Amino acid sequence: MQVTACQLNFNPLVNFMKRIILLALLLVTASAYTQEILLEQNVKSDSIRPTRGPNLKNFTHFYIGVGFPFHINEEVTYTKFGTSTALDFGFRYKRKFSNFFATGFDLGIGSSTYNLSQDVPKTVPDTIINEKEKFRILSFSPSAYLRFNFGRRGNYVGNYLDLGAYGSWNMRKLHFTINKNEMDEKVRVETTRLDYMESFAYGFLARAGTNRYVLTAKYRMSDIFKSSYSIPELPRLTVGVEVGLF
Amino acid sequence: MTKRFLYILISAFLLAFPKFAEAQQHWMVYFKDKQPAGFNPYEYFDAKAIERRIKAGLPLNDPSDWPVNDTYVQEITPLVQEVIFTSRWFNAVAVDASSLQIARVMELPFVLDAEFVEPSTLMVAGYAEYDTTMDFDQEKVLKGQLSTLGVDAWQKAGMNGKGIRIAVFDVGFDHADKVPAFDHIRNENRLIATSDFTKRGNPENVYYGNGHGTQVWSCIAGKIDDLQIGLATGAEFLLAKTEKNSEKFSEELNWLAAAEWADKNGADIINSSLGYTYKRYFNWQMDGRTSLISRAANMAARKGMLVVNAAGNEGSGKWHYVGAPADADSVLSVGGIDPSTGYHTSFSSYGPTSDKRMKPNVTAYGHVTAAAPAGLTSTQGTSFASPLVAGFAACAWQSDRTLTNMQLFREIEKSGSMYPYFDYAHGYGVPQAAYFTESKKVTSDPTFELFVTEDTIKVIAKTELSGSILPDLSLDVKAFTDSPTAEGTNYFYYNIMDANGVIESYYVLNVTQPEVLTINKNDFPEGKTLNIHYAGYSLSVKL
Repeated sequence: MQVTACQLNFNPLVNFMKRIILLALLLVTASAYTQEILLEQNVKSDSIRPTRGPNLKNFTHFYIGVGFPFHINEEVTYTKFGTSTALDFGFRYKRKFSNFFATGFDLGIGSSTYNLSQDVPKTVPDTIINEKEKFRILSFSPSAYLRFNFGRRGNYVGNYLDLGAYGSWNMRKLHFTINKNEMDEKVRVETTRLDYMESFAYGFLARAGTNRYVLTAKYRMSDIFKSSYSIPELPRLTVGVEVGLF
Repeated sequence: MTKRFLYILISAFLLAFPKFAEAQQHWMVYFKDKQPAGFNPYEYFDAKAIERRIKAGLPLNDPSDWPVNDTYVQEITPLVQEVIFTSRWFNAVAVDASSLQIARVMELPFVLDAEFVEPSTLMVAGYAEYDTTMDFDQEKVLKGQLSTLGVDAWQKAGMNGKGIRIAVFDVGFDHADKVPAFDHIRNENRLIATSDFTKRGNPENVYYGNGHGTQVWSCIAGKIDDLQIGLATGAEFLLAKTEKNSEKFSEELNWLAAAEWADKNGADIINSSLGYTYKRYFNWQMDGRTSLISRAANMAARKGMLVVNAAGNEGSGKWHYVGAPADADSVLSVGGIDPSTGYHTSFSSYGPTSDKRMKPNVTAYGHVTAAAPAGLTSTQGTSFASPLVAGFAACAWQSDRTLTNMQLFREIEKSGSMYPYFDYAHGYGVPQAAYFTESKKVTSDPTFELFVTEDTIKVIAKTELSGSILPDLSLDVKAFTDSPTAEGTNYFYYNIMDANGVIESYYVLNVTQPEVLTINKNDFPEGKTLNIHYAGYSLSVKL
């Protein structure tokens, strides 16, 4: 469609420039106005049925989440609950097969921090007592999931349960200690290239969500520490919350 | 510590997912048949409902009004958790039941089908003393919300909705039993009945939960001393609480039950400022036939009631379009305009319906001054445009009681400020009282001219700068001259319509020079029509 508006005659030079600008606009958009357009609606293009959306064939979005690792067995407390965290950010794809069932995958990056308890007897990763001590693992975690949706709904994520599995590449493994020296100064020691830690991990995941708000649980099946070092395992279960960015 | 954390997580999970905690759901169970069973319309209906049926030429003894077969209901009752209500119109019973229970119900030979309906939750609020003060903007808006609909013309003609019974369906009428804006109605015993359809047994108390309905009611009939808020200050009312919370979590079942109740109690008009969109439906289901509430609204219209409904507030959202039941063909859907500009307000939902019917039908102020539970307040939403038009409809019907509900529907459309021009943001524009109180044919002189060549159509506004270019009357041009008033006189409305009468694109321009528009005819295939409305004058020309 070509719709053009008329122009008033002003200074010839200005008019010439306007013509040039108008011509350029016409070449680019094939339409131009000198009247102020207050409202413009194109019904034809709006009427095309979409395939991408929260409850349509394909849906993608980013997400951000925080989890709290903790030991299932309360007798073991190698980490401090609450200050140990697992931060996640990633991209999620969902492929809908029916109103009840969908599947998809995540590509996420995470930063897990395990604040180590210094209670005696201390065994992780060694018996040395520090003022503060923690592990930090930066990882890339692809995962796949099956989604079971509940309830009739429109183009809306709704209530759902996800069950899936994940793998992780622990790209960077760090160990921190903080102690005071004789001068009462804080000394922070960061150790990298931790040979006693595994570079890969895997486990299961479960999510229960209502639209963008999600409760998450991850259970790590693999060990963090190589078995040859005989270091007690850090928490396998991480429970948290997640927000879909859509 | 860990146990406590787990407990909190589990509690949060159950709160977030009540379906896991309680498997009972709302269902509509439809029956295959029903019998008259001694139905006596004179016993069942209010006298005004009988009167409405006679006026509309509707049968008094209609099968859709026969009671649901009680034997069927009794057989279903022990199989489900609870029977909520029975629907005569849909020959159905609404029940609370699990999926397993519904599976057993479906095995009964007289059951036709079962339909799942979403449940909801409750929220309660409280308010203090009433405040009637207004600032300058509120006074200005209050004046405009009525003057644009022709309050002076209605007053001059003595029309205030007297004798018209209006049912208002809403989320709650908090403090409406005390708000002074309704003193005149209470004092004259024009509040006929109230019913809370969100509770079992339908108790009469509707004055709690949310003040939305209080504000809506005030936009129909509110008045404090000489300060008029709505047009139908002389009408009678039925108030029905049909929702428990905000619009998105509300109930369609309650709406149906309330509509049958309104019908039984003689309502002439239903105003419902609610809508259902993306949480339950897809855009392409907005065809007026898919959702239960749209089917119920159409049924209400078939019973002779004028159903006025808000178009919705999704105009600037992803949904964009009208929701249900504003998509129903027999529902007068009302969009919103911005008082500061005079044209479509951004949040007002657009049409058309998914089957390409025009919606909204008309528009009114989407920003109003209303009587809230605590005092006069500024508020916005098509929720308030709808009751303004419902009040207008009451006055219009009072002015001509020979009209049927659908005749009134068409007359209100014709009274629109842009009629016969329309688009999917404004419908036919703002209804005008003068159409009803005066000649019904308010002529407007041409306000623009066409300059047509073989390839182009040029539109020139009639101003001092426009010169003396005259329209080429040899063209296939149909001029309309019965637009009642000029509204937003500097705005130039035009659309491109296909051969089926469906608008493909539409525009509103702010006219800043006489040469408004040039269209290259060669850019359009045959069969397209250019429709124009400017300053009260409409015209169509084939491209």
